[in-house]
Amino acid sequence: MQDIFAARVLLVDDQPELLALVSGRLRQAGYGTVDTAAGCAEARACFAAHRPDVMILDINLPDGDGFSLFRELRRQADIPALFLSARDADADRLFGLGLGADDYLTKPFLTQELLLRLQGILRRAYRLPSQRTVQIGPCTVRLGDAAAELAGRTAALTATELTLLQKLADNRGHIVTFDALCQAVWGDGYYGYENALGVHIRHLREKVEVEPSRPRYLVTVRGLGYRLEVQP
Amino acid sequence: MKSLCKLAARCLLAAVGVALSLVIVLLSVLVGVGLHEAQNYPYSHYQVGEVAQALRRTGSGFALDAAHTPEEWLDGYEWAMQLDEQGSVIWRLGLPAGLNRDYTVGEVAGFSRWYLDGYPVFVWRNDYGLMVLAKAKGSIWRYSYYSTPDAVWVAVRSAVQAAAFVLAAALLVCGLLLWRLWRSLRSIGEGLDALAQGQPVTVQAEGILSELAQTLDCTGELLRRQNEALARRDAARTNWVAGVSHDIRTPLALIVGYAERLEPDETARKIRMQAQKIKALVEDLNLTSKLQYNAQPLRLAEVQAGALLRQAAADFCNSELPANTRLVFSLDEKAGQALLHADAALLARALENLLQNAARHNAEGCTVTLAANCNGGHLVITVSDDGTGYPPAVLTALQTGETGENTPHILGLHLVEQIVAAHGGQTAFSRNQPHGAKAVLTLPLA
Repeated sequence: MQDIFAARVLLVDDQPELLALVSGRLRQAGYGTVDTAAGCAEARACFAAHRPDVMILDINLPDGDGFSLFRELRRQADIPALFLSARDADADRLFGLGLGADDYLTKPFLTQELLLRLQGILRRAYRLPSQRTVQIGPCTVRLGDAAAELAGRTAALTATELTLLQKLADNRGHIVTFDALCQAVWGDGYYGYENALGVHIRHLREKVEVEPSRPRYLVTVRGLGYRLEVQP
Repeated sequence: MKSLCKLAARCLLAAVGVALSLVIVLLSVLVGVGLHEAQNYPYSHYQVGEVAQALRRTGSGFALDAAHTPEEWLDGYEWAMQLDEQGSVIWRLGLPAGLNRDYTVGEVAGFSRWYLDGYPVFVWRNDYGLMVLAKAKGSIWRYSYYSTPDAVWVAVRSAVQAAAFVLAAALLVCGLLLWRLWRSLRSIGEGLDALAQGQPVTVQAEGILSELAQTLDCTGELLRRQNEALARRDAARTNWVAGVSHDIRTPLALIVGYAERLEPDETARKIRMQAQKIKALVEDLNLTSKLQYNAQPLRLAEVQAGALLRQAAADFCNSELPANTRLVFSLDEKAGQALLHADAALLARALENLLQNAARHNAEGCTVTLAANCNGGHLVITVSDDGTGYPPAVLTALQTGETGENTPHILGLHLVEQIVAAHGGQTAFSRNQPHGAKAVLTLPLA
């Protein structure tokens, strides 16, 4: 697979309207092939006919449950999957993720969020290089190459800076807390790395901001975290 | 158990008290009867010794002291005689003729111990020999006792030992009876304890307490059935709420999805935002019913208060807020590093409800403050604003916890109270100075 949009998506849900909405949105976003199934039997048939690259599964299905279906299909092929369910209990979410699903999204959901999560799953599962570029004012960052171009100069981003920038770009326009950034870089045991985070952000600013001492895009929200401002 | 021990001790004391009282009463009766009977004892005004000492030698022989008449001296006696050292009668008063003779040593020895011609007689030595006084025939029985000093000691010792043995036996029997009673009482006490803690009750007691035990068993069974019925009803209610909220989610997903497709149209955005509000309401409803009926187990873990509060503040700032809404975030260093033993998702929900409540009820904008500090073993989180504040009816309902017909619907804030209470903390809602709403959450630190 060259590109995430080449992925074949299998969408299983018992609500025809929801199938129509989500498959429509997926096609609109650029996914070429979206198979839909309204139940377990249909899903099995679809799976046998055309092996999908990613599955989006509902849990309450008329002829079975999504958890069992997931286990059954996973035995045949290791295909990434995302649960999309109205069941919001922690127990269900943890059970689904515990089975090995890549993500769990509860209804009602923002289709935009579903698309972003699906992209993430595909990129991770098939190790696709990110073609994504992030525009920060006059600076262009190519995430795939970890390169920031500013005023004709190209600076290489370190792995930490790239992770930070990716996290901030994923939440562009929104505050990302110190804790969330530290966790993205250092994992769960991040306590005590807050000062190191400041240092990495300063280095990142030197590469993407015109005036690193007076940042216009990568701004500090005092006491909370950082925000990558949206492009005007 | 402590009260049972006290009861047993009291029973024992009561038994001892009753026994002692009985002994005292018996002794009193005995003494009384003895005193009464003593009055019926053959009456004599003067003792033998007094009469014997009252004999005086006169010119013509002997006579009793003139202070009293001879009849007064002999009041209560049949007759009297004075024997000399040889056994001859030297003075007599009312002596039957047959007895007016000389007495041999053997006769004197005999009657001094037993009877003289059927008369019980008493003797007393005086200056002139032996005074003999006789009572009426058949008025007195005479006995003779002998004992060695050892025998007396043995008797006394045996009496003491017997008394001790009897006392010990009585105490043992008393103790055994008490022990049996105590055992029955203990099982009933345990049954009551179990009942108080809502555990199933089976009490086994014998004898007089068996009926009590049966009643207790019946009560326990009744309570158990009632609790079961209540639990079933709670579960049914929770399941019903969960089912409804589940069923609402799919149509809501469609509303959000289609509205999203029409954006950036302003109307579509409003539809989506309202749909998301319904989503939050449904989630609150589901959570509140689960918390109320204990159907939501807390997923407790160590939570860094700073991270939790920063995330809540960031989520609030990142959400779509009315224009002119501002957040002031203040966290003292200790509170930032404090650790809570908490369900992070639930606490985040409580903070979100408080912050969003402030924004939602002040459409023209306000300054919301999220502050936290450590106080003793507690983390104190304050969410306040300078907006319109809680309406009086809402504040009353929040502060008194009263639910009546006209109670305003405060689902979101009620959920905050429930979540904080589930973490062993307290929530206080009040008016902020000079105006606005203020909620203070006090949570125990890990």
